[in-house]
Amino acid sequence: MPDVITTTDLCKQYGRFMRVKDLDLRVPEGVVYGFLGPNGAGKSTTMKMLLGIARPTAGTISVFGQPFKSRNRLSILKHVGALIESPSYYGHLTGAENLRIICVLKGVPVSDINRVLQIVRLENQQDKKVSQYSMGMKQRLGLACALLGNPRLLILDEPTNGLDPAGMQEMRELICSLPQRYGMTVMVSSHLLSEIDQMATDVGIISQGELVFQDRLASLHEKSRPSIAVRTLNNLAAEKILGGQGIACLRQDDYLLLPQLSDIELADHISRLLASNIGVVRIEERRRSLEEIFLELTGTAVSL
Amino acid sequence: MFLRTIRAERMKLHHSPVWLAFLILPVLPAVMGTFNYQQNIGILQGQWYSLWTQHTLFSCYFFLPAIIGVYCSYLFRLEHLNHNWNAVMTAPIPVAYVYLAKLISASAMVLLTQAWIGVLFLISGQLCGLNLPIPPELPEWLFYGFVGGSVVCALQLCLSLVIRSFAVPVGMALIGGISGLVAVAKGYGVWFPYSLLSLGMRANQPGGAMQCSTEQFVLNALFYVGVCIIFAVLWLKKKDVVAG
Amino acid sequence: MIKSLVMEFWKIRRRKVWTIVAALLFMQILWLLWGVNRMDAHELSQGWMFFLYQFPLLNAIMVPVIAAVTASRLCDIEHKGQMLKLLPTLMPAGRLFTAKFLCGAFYMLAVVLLQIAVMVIAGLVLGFAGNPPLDKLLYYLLFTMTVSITILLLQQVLSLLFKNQMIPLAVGVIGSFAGLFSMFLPPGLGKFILWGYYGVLMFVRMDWDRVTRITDFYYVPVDWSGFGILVVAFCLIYLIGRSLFIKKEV
Repeated sequence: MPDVITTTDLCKQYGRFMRVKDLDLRVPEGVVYGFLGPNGAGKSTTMKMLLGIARPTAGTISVFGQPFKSRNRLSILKHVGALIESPSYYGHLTGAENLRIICVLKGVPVSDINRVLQIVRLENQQDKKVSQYSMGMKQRLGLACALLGNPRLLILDEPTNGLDPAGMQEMRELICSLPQRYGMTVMVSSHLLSEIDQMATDVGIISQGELVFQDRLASLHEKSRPSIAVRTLNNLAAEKILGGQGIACLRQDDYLLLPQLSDIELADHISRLLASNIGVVRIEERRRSLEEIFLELTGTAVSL
Repeated sequence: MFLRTIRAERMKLHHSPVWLAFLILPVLPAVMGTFNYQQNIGILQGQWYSLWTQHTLFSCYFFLPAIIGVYCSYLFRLEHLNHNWNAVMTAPIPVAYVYLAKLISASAMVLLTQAWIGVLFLISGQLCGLNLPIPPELPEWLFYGFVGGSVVCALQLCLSLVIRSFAVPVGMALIGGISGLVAVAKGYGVWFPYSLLSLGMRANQPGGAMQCSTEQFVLNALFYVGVCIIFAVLWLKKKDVVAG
Repeated sequence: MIKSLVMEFWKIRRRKVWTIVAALLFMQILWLLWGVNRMDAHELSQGWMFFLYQFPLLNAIMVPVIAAVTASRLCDIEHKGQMLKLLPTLMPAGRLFTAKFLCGAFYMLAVVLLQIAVMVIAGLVLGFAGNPPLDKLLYYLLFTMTVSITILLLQQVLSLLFKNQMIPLAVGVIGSFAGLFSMFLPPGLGKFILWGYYGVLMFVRMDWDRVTRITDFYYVPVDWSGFGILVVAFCLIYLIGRSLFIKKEV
């Protein structure tokens, strides 16, 4: 399957500051691509370049297999829905009227408005002025605008921003369902790992403008290298015994970390320890959390 | 506490080249008015007094109210944007101070403008080679003009407080200015707030007393400013804060 | 393009842009008519010329503000809702610029047509000598429209490029002031100031005799070179302003 978005050596410079450096994005078709990075890493800037509202300093972009140039930009964007940073709207018009304007500009039949309102659950508020919407409603309206016309590609910048837990859950489920139900490819950016973990199938991690990881989400999990932590009443002796069996132990606080073992092997070692009169008081499985992996990859603290 | 509010106001205006507009505006009538004076020196025989009319006539009725409108709109634009009303109204300062601090800020700008107008007037007069002594009433004109200008500030601030659009109060300032012209011509000048500016500056008839009594002028000015302050405070107190 | 233009009008529903425009126009008409009540025979015989002299003068004061307010209202809805992020992904930026301009120009046209209507009706009611001079009124329409939409265009460029509407409005007020003054300067100088073109393209002059205190109006030939300069200025502002807006990064 061809990639929906491909960038080569994409760069963006503001003044003397390189916001985005040599980015090589590959977004496959029909996936939910999680674009992850700390605040200020360059996620929004990259997405703006993908939509052509910011001009790259260097590098090329290709969308749907075609090079993204100012000539064919709008014909490509006809099949793209976008929500960048905060939702865009006319406050003095109602939700339905805002959607109507987008419909007319996109050339989408007006009947589509009801469909997208149902998807985001805003049918009851469609005749209220948007300036009176709560933040969550504005966010949902922004998503509705992006969904109009059933685009092939959705680019969403922090779509769960400002939503309450129930709303976030709904949004997540919605985004996950989009590839199967409508055949869309979704590119979601976030700084919330847990969110990306639940939604995405492919992940790209950006840090300080550079792409530090890009692969399926499963490979990111594989990096977590689980280990078994054992606490005994006599760690030194236990370490010697296990070392004698060829098991390399790492000491961490008052735990011994063993590499991943099968259940039978582990039971075997534990019984050997017990046979030597070493009381075993804790056996835990330790997985490096996604946070820790992220921290290692980006070298920065994770934001909440 | 009030001083702190005023300091905060000044800080809000940091990085705003707002004063540029007030700097440039009086230069226009100074230059062009002087030029016009020179061209018509046969008709305009009042020397300093005629020059003064040239400088101030159009400013007072149309363009000073308009630029004051722009400035006052800007002062409240700072609050209307970015949900700032939420922050302003929950700060531990009395509601009246919010309005008063802005009024002081706007009036200070008017005062500086008046001083600048005076300076330009003196320079122009020298350039024209006027040999009569400088009119002693000049400071008086500038002062009463400042009073009249403050009334316009108070009114425009009320308009900008209520109307969230930037441009509409400016249009209304122009309408006010023209109505002021009509009011003065009909003789009701002292009763109409926008006319006080031109009356104070003696734009029509410099040299001699105001076209109304000074006491009436000052009383009316204070009255209008007072009404505006009361209106603004009541509005801020009663209305729910809508920040968006 | 028609679609975009219709959208522009649709976007400003409930904004009541026409309210402030109507108020300003109403004020201008009142101001003009205020001096018209008592006109003697001599003045009535020159009634049409009187209107064609007064209106451009008043226009120099009022129409730039109308243009600035209209342009500002049309453009600040985009800034307030951060639509300039979304709109360029839906339509070409150049088309947005042109559609907004046409929408604002419509208001300017309405203003000028109303002015002409008032001129004709008032003139007929007051009993000005002769029929309304159609050719002169058409010249008035052409010249006033051209100056007004050029100012509107400049205001729109400023209102779109700057989020802070203070800049376009301050420019509008100062510019109109400069234009008014330039009308009292020797004719050549008025050509350098855009706002002064109300005066440059005026084709009625006034002669006030101090002794007899009679004002006399007379037609002068139209300054076509001035008109030419104005048209060139319009094209320049359109091309430069439009490309600046298209290139603007959000």
